[in-house]
Amino acid sequence: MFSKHLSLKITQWLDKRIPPATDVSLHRRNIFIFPSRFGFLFLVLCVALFILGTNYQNNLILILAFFLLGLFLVSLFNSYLNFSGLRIVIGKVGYPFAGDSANVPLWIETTTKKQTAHGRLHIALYGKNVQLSVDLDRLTNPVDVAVPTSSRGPQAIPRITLSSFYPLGLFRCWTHLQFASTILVYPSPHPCSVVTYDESGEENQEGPVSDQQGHDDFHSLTEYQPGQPLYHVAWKQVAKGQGMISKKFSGSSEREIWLRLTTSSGPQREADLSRLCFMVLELDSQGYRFGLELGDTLVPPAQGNHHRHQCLKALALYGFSEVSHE
Amino acid sequence: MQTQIQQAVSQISHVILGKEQEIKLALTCLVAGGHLLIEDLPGMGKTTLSNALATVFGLGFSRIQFTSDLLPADMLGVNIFDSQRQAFSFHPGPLFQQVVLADEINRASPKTQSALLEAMEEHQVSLDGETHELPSPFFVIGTQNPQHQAGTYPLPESQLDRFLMRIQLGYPNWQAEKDMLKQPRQKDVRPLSPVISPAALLELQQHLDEVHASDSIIDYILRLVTFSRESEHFPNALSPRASKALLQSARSWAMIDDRDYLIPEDVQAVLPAVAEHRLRSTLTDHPTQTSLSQLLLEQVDPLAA
Amino acid sequence: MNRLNPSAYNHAHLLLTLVLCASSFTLFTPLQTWILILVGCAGIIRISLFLNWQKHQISVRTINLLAILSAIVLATFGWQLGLLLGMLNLLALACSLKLMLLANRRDYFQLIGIQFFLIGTGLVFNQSILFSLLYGMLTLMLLLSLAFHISPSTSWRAQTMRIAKMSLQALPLCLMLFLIIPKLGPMWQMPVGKGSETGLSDKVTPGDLAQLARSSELAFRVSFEQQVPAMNQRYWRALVLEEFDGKTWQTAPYRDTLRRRYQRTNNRFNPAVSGPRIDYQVLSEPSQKPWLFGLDVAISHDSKIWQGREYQLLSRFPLQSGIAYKVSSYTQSPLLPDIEVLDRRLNLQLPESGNPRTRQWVKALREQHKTEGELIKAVSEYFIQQDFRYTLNPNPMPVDPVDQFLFEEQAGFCAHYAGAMTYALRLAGIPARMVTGYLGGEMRGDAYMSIYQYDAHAWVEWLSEDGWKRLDPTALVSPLRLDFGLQQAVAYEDSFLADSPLRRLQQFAWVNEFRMLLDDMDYLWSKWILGFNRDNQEDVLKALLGELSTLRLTIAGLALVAITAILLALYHYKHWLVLAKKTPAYYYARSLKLLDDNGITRPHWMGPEDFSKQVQQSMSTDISHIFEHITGCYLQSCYARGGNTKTQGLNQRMRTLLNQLKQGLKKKKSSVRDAQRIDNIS
Repeated sequence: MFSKHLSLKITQWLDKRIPPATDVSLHRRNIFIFPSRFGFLFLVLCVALFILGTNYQNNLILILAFFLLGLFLVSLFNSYLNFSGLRIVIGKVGYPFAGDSANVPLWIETTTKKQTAHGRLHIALYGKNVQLSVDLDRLTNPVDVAVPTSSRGPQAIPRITLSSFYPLGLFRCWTHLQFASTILVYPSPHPCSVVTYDESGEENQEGPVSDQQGHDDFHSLTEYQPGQPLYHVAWKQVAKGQGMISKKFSGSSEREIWLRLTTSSGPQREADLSRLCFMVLELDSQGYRFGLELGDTLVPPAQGNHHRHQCLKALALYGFSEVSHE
Repeated sequence: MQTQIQQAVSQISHVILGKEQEIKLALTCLVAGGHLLIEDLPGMGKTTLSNALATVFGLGFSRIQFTSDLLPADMLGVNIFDSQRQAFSFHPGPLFQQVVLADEINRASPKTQSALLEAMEEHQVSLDGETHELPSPFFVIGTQNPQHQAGTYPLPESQLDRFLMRIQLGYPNWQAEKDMLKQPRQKDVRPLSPVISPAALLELQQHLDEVHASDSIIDYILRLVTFSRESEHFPNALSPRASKALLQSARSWAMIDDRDYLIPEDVQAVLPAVAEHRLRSTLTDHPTQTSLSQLLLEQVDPLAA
Repeated sequence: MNRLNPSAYNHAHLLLTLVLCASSFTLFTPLQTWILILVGCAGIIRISLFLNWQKHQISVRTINLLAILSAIVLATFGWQLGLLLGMLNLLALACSLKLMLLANRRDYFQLIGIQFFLIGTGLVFNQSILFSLLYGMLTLMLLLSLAFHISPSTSWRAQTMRIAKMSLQALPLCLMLFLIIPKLGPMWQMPVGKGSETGLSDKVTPGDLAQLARSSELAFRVSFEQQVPAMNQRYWRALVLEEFDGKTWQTAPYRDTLRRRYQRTNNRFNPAVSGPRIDYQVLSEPSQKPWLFGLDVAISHDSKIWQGREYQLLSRFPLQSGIAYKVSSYTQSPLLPDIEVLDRRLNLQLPESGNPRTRQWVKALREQHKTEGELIKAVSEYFIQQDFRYTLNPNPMPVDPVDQFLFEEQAGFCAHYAGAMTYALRLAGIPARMVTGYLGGEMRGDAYMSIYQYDAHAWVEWLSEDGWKRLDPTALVSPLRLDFGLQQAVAYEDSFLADSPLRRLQQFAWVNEFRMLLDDMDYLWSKWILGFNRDNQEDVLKALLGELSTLRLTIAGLALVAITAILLALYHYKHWLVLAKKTPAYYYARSLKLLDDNGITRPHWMGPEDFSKQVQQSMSTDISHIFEHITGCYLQSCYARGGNTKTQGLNQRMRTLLNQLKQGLKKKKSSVRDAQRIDNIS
């Protein structure tokens, strides 16, 4: 109970101290620094050497102890200076399906006017274990951070913790960055048979697709139209001297087809959205022109990558805009 | 030299009215040694432009109409057995010209397309184990019709950036079209005369690297491409090849303006033509959206020291 | 189970391995050989892992087995090692096993920590300049290893530079701490390392001293504040041996008991002194023993030093490291016994039997010579008249050594003479004792004197009416020893430093020069580093601050903190120091600001030339004309070829143009105001 309260307080304080942004330069206000575990071991070592030197009245050991202590202090500054040279910009966030991990690309700029940052940078989600470590001297931008997702819809990117032990591992410099960007999570596709409707709203009983095949299903022969793919030409017939005849496949149907959400509420809705997601992917991969109807939201029939994204986005956001309107 | 280029621009402007900017871009592309992609509806003067370009530079010109049944050999040429000499001899195809108009490039089969793109990249043609050099300068103007996509093979995204620039001619403005309509019919095909020799063009191309690009300009270009990589507004980011193309085109633009150094305006002038087709793969995806390259320009300050 | 190789081409692990091997091998005396072998094995394993000859780590089970075996061996043989050596051996053993096992970050950091501690322990045993440099190097290598661990892909050069820079930054801090942190006394008695004892012992069998005299090791150094006493007066007293068992002289056990009692009650001995005084400072080498050195009646006010009632200086703790102390000697002052009865009783002690011929001989002498003076003279004359020889190679005399020496061998080292003389005097009823120490010393310029182990000497003291009197029988036999040192005294037999390989080289002048130079460096090292004590610390602080008061110390401390903070801040905000440079870009930015104030703002994406055109459209010609010029200059400097070379001229022009623009805009503003006023009036 108490720890929950405490972590809430810390989160609130962090929100105030490091507000969301898309482009963060690390500086005094958003860097934390504290001796690492090895740093404490090092201090204990300094004390031990001091005692050893004092008891043996050995100035050399004392000098060693003081030198290490001096190094500890110098390392504090170097550590901070190095870390404060970083600039982190969030890139284009990917669109994951629910349950998958979203790819959050971070662009890390190590060189500022003052200096260049070095050493390894450890990246973790706030409160989680270190997910990946990058070597700033051999950096290839962007660095992809995986953020797990659970359900569809817009999702905030959790705080991302960056930490560095440069230069000697005595201090840990870290920051918890909040990026002002959201992840749009598509519903997870649920395999099912594709049910489509035609323009009038009638259900297409046989369906344009019988599961996986379709594109290669031979349908009929027609007159060749200039511009049609050459591999659709029925060469056998051409060879027989029947003129240019092209094969027509059931996949390349010219009819406009629609996908539609039948339930509008209840637990069934999510499952239906998942099925629709699968259908969108299926139809898209087979090159269909299709539209999507989700209650009030209409995505007019089209095809291509952009269209697929529009449909999946509509599926992901279905229900969320209503909430935000109210 | 500059006056000659100005002459060339004005000559072509007499043929295609009200399109000085596009004509200059096309010239820039030619001087930069890249290939041009014109994406426009039929009847906008694509053929006229390429013909005029070839003429004012005194270059050989050929036009290849791309159709689905066009085979690579139709374009590249064939080895034919010469019975007198008892040997194969090479008959070059229409591609062996200095200016090649590849009309409706997206109608050809992928095989033909890739043969063309390869020739564009390599400046040579390999046939039956023999390599044939293409003439120099070699300038391909590809055209694409953004509408009527049925039965076409859109150029693959990965190969779109073989074209240094992509421009759209668009409809002429009111006055220009009015002037055009008022022209007597004969003057429609007013004869053009060569203004610059091919040798002079080659020399221009060779001196391109001497246009000075200061650190400030290179930083500006880097900021532009970096922004396209970092910002989520751009589905495709600009590659290092794109930044190289940008610098090359800007140099060529500055040269046409008779300046021996680059200023930010040069980059800004060529950026839409150089970057738009790299930022967005096909026109069909977002036909109505504002230009991404414009968005990019507006986000980056050319001065930031 | 084999694990993957984390050390392959891992520079951090390589450096760590090298440091462990190096630091262990500098400790080859205190460490047991089998542990050294184990360390070597671990090093070889790690290096072959580094080179990727070997792809897999040794399995944990093997290491555990090895650890158990080693622990048993160490437990069996380690008992007699004592705490310090036991701990050291255990540390080295643990290090080697851990090195074999080294896999994750935790292992690595633990090893680094132990390594630093091992280096510290190494400094207990070796404190010479060379060893200190070596240990300094090893410390830097460990830091380098750490740097490689944290940023593995940086080049060696860059890492070395980085570590060097940080070390240079840390060094002033280190010196400051060394100067201002008070020197504390030992908090508790530390276990003593065995095996490295050097110098005089509290038990002397006459042959021992001859052994010691073969060593050219440094015993201690002295720097005199005034004049230096003559060579034959430099009898450096170290130990007073009052107990004789027929063969061996040693300190009287009762004296030790008594001293401990006095020490417990802190009852210090303050002998009455008179006459001229000699002040000097002694820098003793670490000898692992408590006795110190002084001339005649030597008084020290150092709290670490105990003044023995037999006129002997003792450190409270064995000398684990070099120490420096100030002494005043009163050469003319008599050595009066503290409790005469006790001194008399202790120094007449004799073994029950043995050496019968000496007994008879003394008995006969005593009958002839009644007074003490006469008897001593008679004994001395015996040494002179007989054919006694001073030698570094005396024959062993196992049975009745005094008899054998006096009547058969008649050849011996100083301890033989002193021993025989003391024995003879005691037999004659004169309280006498053997004193060991050093005689002479080699002066190095005016700066300091070095006393080596081969200067070790033994002489006799006998109790007269006015205190203890020194009597040196060696002087009777070999006067050279007194005036010119051992080398001359035994020159005839060519035995001086016969074992030392360097000895032949001493004939060459430059070798000697070089040796002297090293000696000088070593002296400064001992004086300012090893021997830097609380007195020095106070002296330095006094020299810096004047009189030491709490206020001054506080101010000095605060000032130090402030200076450090300022230096660090300056380092951090270096760019503050670089004032805004007047470049064409700066003037251009100023003119943009001016136009902005006057209502024309450049959209942040617009290029300079386009903006100039925009200004042309919205401003009067004179202003836009000036701005066009400014833009032209800016383009020239920032974009044109060789623009940065003509900055000087451009700057000048831009400054004037900027001023013109300022005035033009002002004029325009005022004219607008005038126009408005006219409008208002009308």
